[in-house]
Amino acid sequence: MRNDVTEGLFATVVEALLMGRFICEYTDKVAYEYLQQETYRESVNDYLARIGRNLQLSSTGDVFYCAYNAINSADRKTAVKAQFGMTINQLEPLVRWLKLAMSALQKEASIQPGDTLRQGELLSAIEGAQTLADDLAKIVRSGQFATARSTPREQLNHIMNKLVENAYLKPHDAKSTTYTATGKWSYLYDLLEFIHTHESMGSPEDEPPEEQREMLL
Amino acid sequence: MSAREDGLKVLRALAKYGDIIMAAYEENRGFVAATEENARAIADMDRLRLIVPDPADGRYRLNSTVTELLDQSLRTSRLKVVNADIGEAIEGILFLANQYLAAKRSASRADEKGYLDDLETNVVALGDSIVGQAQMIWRQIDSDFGSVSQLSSKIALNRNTLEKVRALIASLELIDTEALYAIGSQDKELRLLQVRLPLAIDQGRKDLSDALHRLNKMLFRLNQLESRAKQVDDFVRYCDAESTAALPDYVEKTHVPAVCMAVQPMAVFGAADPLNSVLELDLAELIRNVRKEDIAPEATEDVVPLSADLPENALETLLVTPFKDAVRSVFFKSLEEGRSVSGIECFDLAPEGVSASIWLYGLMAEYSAMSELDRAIFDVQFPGEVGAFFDGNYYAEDVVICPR
Repeated sequence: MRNDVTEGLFATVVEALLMGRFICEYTDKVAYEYLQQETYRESVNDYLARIGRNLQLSSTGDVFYCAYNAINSADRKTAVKAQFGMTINQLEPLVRWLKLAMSALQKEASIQPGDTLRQGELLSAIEGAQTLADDLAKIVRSGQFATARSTPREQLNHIMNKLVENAYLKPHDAKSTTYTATGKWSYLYDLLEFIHTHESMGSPEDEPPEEQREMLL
Repeated sequence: MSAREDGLKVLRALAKYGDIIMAAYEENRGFVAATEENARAIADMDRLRLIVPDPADGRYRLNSTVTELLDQSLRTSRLKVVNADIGEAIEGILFLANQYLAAKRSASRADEKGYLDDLETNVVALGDSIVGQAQMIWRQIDSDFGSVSQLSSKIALNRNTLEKVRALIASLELIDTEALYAIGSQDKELRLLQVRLPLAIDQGRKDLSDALHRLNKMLFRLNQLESRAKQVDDFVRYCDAESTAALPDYVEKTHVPAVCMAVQPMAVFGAADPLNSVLELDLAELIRNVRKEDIAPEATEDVVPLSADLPENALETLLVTPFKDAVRSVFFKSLEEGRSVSGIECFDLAPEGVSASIWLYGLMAEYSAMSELDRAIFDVQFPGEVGAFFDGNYYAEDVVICPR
């Protein structure tokens, strides 16, 4: 019986990973705990390795996802490019919304996996500040959050639904407007950090002073 | 030369070269700075073995005995530098313990009691102070520095608390517990110096070490949050100035990191496993939803009702066909031979033109049509297998008849 359960979980976890799902304790606690155990994690990884993939864990250990081992064929390259291209296209509106949420909630820290988000709280902050409402309108003008809806309430509702659809948020129940941020944010931050490092996106105040720069040269 | 004279020479040299020794001890990790002016002093100290050449590079450093002597002597004053409260409290405790012993030796009862009471009060106060400081730090940690809400303030508060904890741990490390044990062993009333105080110190040290670990972890997390928030700001600024289309194609690089290689969702593949009972409900749901339109009611107007009217006393003769006869003969054969008989084995009994499946159906139908009494005579089995799709079908490959 126990073997049946473990086998069933193995199949469920592998299928979820191959379907591009991100497994964290907020989306699938059982699968996440399953992958937390080294033996099971290794068995999943061994299986994925046989089909040229591997199990990845975000830098903070919040989320598991599946990645290709290497780009060793034209088909693989096309698949990686398509997926990464899609992620990059979604990145800008997502990060802009993140910044908007941080400003609206007056938080210095960005949304973290496990954080609770209340749509009502966000909406009242946005409706109370024209700048935030303008930013929201700008976000829904194009990209993945694009919508023809005109009121901040509808626009925010549309974005929240999209975030649920893309597994960044999980509603507390089917009709709830209170959400839990999932571990997928952790993947997003890893990606952001990678781009930040490679594109040297640091603000001017991060740059070393003139004399230090001379020393570096 | 007597040992006494040798000893006096060493002590005089220690006094004479005290500045050089202290400079080496405090500022140069025990190494003596060699200059032209102190060449003679170095030679003198080397002769008296106050300093020794280091085997690694030949530089002179203080003999380990001299270093230990200074460590021991300076412990309390260093403690006072690190933490004045604890340093002074320890100094006061040692002083009161010594005074108590002196009063006891001089049989001054009143002084003895007074010193002992003071000593106990000081020991309790110091123990409480150590435990209290650790508790206060833990309260701050447990509240996640709840007194402030801004991330930057939390980081500053965390750093400040970390420094405080480090200083407290350093001061506890500097408490000379051996001296406390030594003085505590001289009188049973002073046992609190051997038990109570060391216990409080140990507890404080343990709590503070745990706090240090937790604070470091929290600081790491807070710094990470700060850097992520900064990355969000920087990315938005980048998008304002340029577009994400300007980002290079990382997939084209020689080493593509895993973060850029998340898999493309794989389409659902494979066939349902009809033998997996776990899937039964899902499959039933699927089957139920396959037919969306309602089933048309069957036409009834052309159906001629069956007549139940039979002419009185009319005899109905049921013909026994060769097929039925052959089917029955299989059951009789099994009874006659008293063994199990396979329908396929007896297929040669079937009339010409009858297929094997019809033959087997005939055997099954015969058995089904038997009365309860007749059926009790036979044990009939249908070896075969479940259909490859979840449709509830069972495909019999043979009919085995066996007398009970």
